[in-house]
Amino acid sequence: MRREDANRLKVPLIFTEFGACFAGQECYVEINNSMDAFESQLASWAYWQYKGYGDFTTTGGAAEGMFADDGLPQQLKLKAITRTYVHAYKGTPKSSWFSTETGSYLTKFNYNHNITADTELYMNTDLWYKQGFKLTMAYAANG
Amino acid sequence: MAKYVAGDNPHYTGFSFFDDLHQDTRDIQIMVTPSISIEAGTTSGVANNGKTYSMGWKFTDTGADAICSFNLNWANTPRELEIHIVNRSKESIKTFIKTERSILPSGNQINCADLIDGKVSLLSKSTGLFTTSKEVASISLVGMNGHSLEINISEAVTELIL
Repeated sequence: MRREDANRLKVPLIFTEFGACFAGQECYVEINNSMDAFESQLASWAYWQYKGYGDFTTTGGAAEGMFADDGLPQQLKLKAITRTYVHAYKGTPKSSWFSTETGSYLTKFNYNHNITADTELYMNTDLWYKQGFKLTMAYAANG
Repeated sequence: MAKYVAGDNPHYTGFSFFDDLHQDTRDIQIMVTPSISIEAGTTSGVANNGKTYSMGWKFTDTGADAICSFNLNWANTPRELEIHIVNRSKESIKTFIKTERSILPSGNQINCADLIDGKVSLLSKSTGLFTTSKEVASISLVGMNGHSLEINISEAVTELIL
C-alpha cells in the first residue's frame, strides 16, 4: 500500500525506526522479516537505533542499538543488516531478493546506457560468503 | 557486456558496462551465490516399489553466463521415477522422465535465476490407490550459478553377504 502511495506521489519510499529490539534470535528474525518486506517493494530502510546516546525517549536502553555493553557490535544484528544489495543501478531496478538462510542474492534491472555512473553492489564476504561466492551477470530471461 | 571493478572497500563491487548495450529496454540480472558446498556426491532413498534408488551428482562450473544445464543418466530405473526441478517457492518448474537422457537441446538449460535456492527432487510417483507420490532423494541447488549438473539415477546395489 505504501509503495502504491509512493508511486502515486512520485517520491522515494524509505522505512525508518524499525527494530528497536534486543540482541537475540527473535530480534534477528524480526529485522529479517521487516527487511524482506522492504526489499520486495524496493524500499530503502534505516534501522533504529545505531547507539543509545542517552536517548530519554525509550525505555529499552542501549541494548536496542547495534552494540553490546562491551562496545562490540551485536553479531546477529550486524548480520541482519549486512544484506547483499545493489545500492546504485545503471538503470531502473525491477526486483531484488536476498536469502537470509543462504546468502543468495538476485536482482533485475532495466539498463539505461544514458546513465554515466556504474552499477555498484554491496556484499559482506566476511559475514555471508566465508567459503567463497560466485557472481554472474546476464540478460534476464525477459530482457 | 560488463567488467567487475573492485573498489578500495572490499565489500563493494562495481560493474562497468561496456557500451554495447544500446537497447534501453534490456533487463539485466545480477546473481550472487555462496560457493557450492559439496560439488559431488550420492544420495539415496526408498521408492514406492520398495526398492532403493541412488542419485549421484556432480556440479561443473561453466562460466559466468548464468545458464544452468542438466545432464541426466538413468540406469535400471522404473518409469515411475521422475526428476523434478523445484524452485525456491517449492514449485516444480521442470520435469524429466526416464526417456530424457543427457545432452538434450535447450530443454535442459534453465536460467539460473529461476533455480536460485531450489533443489532437484527424485520423485516416486503414485502407482495405485494405496500409494502417494513421495520424494526419494534430493540435491540442493544452493550455489548453482553458471554450472552444469550431471545426475545419475540408478537402483542402489545391495551387497550380498554370503
